[in-house]
Amino acid sequence: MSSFRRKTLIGVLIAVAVCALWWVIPSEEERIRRVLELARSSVSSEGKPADGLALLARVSQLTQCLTRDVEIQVDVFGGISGNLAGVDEVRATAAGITQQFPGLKVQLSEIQISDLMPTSAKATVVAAIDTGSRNGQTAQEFELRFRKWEGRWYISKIATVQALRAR
Amino acid sequence: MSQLIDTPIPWWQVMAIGRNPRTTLIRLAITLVIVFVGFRMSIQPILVQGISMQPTYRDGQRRFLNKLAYRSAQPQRGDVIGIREAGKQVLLLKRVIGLPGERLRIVQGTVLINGEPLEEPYLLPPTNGVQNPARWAVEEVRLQDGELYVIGDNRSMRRDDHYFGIVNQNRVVGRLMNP
Repeated sequence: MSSFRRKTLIGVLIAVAVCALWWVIPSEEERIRRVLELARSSVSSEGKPADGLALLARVSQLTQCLTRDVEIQVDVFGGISGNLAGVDEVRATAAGITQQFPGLKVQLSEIQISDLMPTSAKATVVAAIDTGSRNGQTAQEFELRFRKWEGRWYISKIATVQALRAR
Repeated sequence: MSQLIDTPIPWWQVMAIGRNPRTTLIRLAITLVIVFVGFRMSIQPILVQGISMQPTYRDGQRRFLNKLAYRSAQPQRGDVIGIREAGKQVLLLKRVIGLPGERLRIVQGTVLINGEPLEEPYLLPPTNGVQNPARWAVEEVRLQDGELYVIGDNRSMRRDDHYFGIVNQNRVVGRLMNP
């Protein structure tokens, strides 16, 4: 084997090893991103069944991403507003929403993780939400608080971000 | 023995693709990349949706934002700005009426800056001598550093349907180019 080919092969092997290591031992930021993706995929229907055991499995997957005392504060100008406190309230609401909007699609973008501490972190994300109905597309920015417990990150708070405020 | 004959390139070919087409193509590609990157960094096309900026801007109009407008200057009163609402694509289009350090309130639809009424020629024409048909009222707010007070031009709509208030300057994307 020529020297060039050997060096190329070693380079490729190192790159593959780094990728594998990154996947097996992800950074804290990557762990948080995976929790976000898990929560997103459990809320988003994307053709998945929304009844019976499938519904229970999806709601269960969502609650695995949340702390027991999770708080959700939604306040969209000209839209929905309301608060949820505790994982049980979230579970009931998520089941209702999933059944009401079987075509619900959620895409997350512009994920920014900040204030990364050993057991807490903050993230801002933009969620593009499509309820599957006519004029049912919207985009909303959210701020999420994360808490780490027994080596796993959980969402402890979700709040809508308003661009404008009264005072 | 072969002989190379230097045939002259037709003038129309020189005009269209230059003497060396390969070099011309590379130059063209580089120019397009520079123009595209420059455009993306400095200008953002927007589509106006909604009625809150009427009569100045109407639903469905296309406009451009100058994203470099506030690199070396501060927003001025009267500027129409794009505000990041949800990510880079969903923006609010509003007019700046209050600047950092100012006290602002709205009494009977009239904007008062530090107690002085603000002249707003861009609003709907006066009706029976009243400039703002809707008699909105907003309690006094004092703007801190890096804060602006923004509002739409359509003050004839219901106050509760009109999204306005204080915005942090870090959410400002740029100034409307063609007011």
